[in-house]
Amino acid sequence: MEYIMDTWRELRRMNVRQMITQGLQLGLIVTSALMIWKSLMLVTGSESPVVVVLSGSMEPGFYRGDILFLNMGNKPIRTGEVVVFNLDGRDIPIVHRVIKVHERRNGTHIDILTKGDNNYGDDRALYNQGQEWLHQHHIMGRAVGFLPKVGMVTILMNDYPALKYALIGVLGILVLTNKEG
Amino acid sequence: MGRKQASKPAKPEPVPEPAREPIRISNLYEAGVLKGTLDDVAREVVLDHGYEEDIVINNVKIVLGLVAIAAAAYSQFGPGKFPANWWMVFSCVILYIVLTFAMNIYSWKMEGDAFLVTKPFRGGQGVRLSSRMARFSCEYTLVLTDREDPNLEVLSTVRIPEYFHEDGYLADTAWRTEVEQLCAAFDAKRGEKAAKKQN
Repeated sequence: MEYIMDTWRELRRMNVRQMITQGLQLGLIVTSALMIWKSLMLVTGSESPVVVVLSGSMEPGFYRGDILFLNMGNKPIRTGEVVVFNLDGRDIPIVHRVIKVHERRNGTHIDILTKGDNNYGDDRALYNQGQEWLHQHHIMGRAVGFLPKVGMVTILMNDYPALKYALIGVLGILVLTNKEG
Repeated sequence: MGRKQASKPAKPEPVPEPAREPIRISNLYEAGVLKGTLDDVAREVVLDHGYEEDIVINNVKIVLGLVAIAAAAYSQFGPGKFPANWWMVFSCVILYIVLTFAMNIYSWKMEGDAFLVTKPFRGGQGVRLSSRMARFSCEYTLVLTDREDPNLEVLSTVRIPEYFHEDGYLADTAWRTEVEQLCAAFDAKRGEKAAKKQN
C-alpha cells in the first residue's frame, strides 16, 4: 500500500514534460516489442508467425497451450503437412493436418481439405456454410516448430481478461516511475 | 531569483507559495530511487539559480519518438492485409529502426549522461548536470560541466546517508545548500578561467 502511495506522490511531482517523456519511453518499449513481432512476420511471410494451440483436436501431437512456429514458404501445400488456417469472417486460427489436395496442372488453383488428428470427421463441419474446400489464401502458414505448454499464459489471459489489463497496468506504472531512465 | 513555472513540480492545489511537500522515500535500500530524488532536487536548485533548461533537446527527442511510434502504429493498423502489404510493413520497420537509432545517437551526443542541459547563461554556454553513483556504494557525486568546455567542471561527492533521515525524509535544506554551493563554485571557477584567458 505504501508503495502505491509513494508511486502516486512521485507521479504528481512530475511536470507535464517529464510525464510526456516517460510516456514516450513506455510507448517505445511497447512498439519495440511490436516491431520484433513484425520482423518475425516479414521473415516468415506469415500473418501470424507464432500461434497458440487452443484445442485438443491435434492430440497426441499438439496439446492445448503449445506454441507453434509457422513459416509460409513458397512450396506448394501437400498432404500430411500441419497447417494453420483462418476461415473467412473468423479470426481464430485453427491448427489441423492437410488430408486432401486437389490442384490444377498449371498450379493456379488449389483445393485443400483438413482434419484434426484427434477429431472424428474432417473439417467440413467447421468450414463456413457451403464451403467444402480451403484455398491458398486461407492458409497462414505451416507448422515448423513447437514449444510445449508455454502458451498456457496466453490462454489464461484470454479466459480471464482482467489478468491482461492488470499486467499491462502494473508494467505501465513501473515504467512511468522508473528512476533509472 | 525568479522560479520558472516549468521547473516547479506540478501541484494540484493553487495555494499561495505552498510549503513544499517533504519528500519521503519508503524503501531506503532502493539505490535508483535515492539517486533519482537527489537528482530531482539538484535539478530544481540549478534551475532556480537562474539557468534555463534547454528544451530543444527534449523536444527533438519527443518528436522523433512520436514519429517512431506513429510508424509502428501504422504498420499494425494501416490498410491492407498481410502478406500483400509486405513492403509497407518492411518500410515501417526500417523507418522505426532508423528513428530510434537517430534518437539514441542524438541523446548520446547532446546529453551524454547528464539529466539536465541548460541554455547559455551569464556569459557561459550553459551547463550539463549529471550525477554518478556506483552500485552498492553510498557515495553520490554531482557534476556540473560546462557545455562548451568539458574541462570546466566542478563536482561534489557526498555520502548519501548524510542527507536522508532514518524514517525516509530527505534533508531538503541541507541538500539544497550543498547544490547551491556547487553552483557558486562553478561560477567562481568559470570566472577564474575567463580571467586566465585574458592574461
